[in-house]
Amino acid sequence: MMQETTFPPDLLRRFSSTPYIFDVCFDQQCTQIQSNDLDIALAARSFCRRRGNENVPIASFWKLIRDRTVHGGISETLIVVNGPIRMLHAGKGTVLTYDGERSELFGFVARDMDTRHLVAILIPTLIGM
Amino acid sequence: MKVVLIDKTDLAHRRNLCFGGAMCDLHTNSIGLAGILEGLAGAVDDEGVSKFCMQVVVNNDAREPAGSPHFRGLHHLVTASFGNGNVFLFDLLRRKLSASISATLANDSLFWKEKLIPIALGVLGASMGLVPVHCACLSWNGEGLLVAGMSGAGKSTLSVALAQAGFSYVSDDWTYMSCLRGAVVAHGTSAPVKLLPDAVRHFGGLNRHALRVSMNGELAYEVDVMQTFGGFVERGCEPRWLIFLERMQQPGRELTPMSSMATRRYIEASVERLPAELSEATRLRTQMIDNIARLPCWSFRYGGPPGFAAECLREFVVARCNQEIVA
Repeated sequence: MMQETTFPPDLLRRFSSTPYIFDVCFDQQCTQIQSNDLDIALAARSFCRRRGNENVPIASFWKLIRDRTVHGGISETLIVVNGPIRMLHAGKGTVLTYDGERSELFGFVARDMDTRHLVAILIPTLIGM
Repeated sequence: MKVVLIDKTDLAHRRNLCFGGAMCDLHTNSIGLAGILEGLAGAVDDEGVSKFCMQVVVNNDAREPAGSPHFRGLHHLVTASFGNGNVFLFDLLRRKLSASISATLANDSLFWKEKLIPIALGVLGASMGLVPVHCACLSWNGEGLLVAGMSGAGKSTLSVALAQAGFSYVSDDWTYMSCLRGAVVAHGTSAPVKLLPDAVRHFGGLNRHALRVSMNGELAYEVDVMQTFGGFVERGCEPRWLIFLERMQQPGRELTPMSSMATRRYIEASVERLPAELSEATRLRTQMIDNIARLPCWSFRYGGPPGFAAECLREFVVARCNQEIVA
């Protein structure tokens, strides 16, 4: 008999579970934050609250995965902008993408990336461009 | 912090190309890259339904070669990097590939041939009705034979043996399926055939080539079929039969029909899971898998040298073709 094939592994980590989910709402606008890392989720929630209080627009959906298998290393941060799509690349393991049309922010964060740096510097830089 | 703005109007070199049955609208600032991709592309077929856009900014002062690959994806966005200065972003909803790369990578034709083009088709294919199937494809007078099997079953070795037995080579590992005028069409990408070190026992010509570490970390020969073994290479064909390859210890062969359910299971197991946001891509892909699963399908078990297996399959295909002529 033929050997049974197995379902392919999730090589892109697309289906990483995100048990930490927060909704941040101001007036009629809500932002949902999903992460597999409580620190990141809490920092992102604080950031969204501050931005909401200041009436600054933010992405309405965030999904940030702490990539525990990848060490980022030191390298220059690179941002690529193509119309509504932006990508931020900081070392090997930290990659953020932002779809301005759909108001969605996605990212994988290297295990050694400082959460404060991520939320206070990298994400605002990417979204605010 | 470095910022690269990709503006189509700044990318002076534009080409309409065709890779693996998918039309590619290329925009780049590098005439060298445009030339390389033009050389790798097949004949443009405006009837193809699969289309994507590729916008590549080449940083002429950057010299970083291809580093180790790193892929990630969430929802409709997939990223790939080959070192810090070579980054790619695939947008499956807009069928668009954006990239910022070094001049060294832009001029590395092997990188585009062996890595980026197959990756682009693999990642974006799902959104364009182009289904990558883990199988080899050979053509006998335009009639396609798909050879599927688990990794290590010997698809590539058998592909070379079939090419030596008179088949035209289309692909050895991944074949891209699309639908044209209601018929399934199988496409290759002119990527080299990948043979493991022990293949040198069967193909002496491999001695002239060096072993390399391939993208999945395996040590292998990656060689151009036509240059190394002679024979013919075709870009695509209409698949007529699907063979599931399996090795056995004792010499001999067994060819037994298989159900379309087994074909479906195999293909579904080899394609990447898609997120819920890509429901249209999932629908297109399911439709394609339905079409492929309708192909007549056999299990082919053999023991012996690959030349023996190639001869068995040549007899099988010739007999099928003759039966159809008589009918």
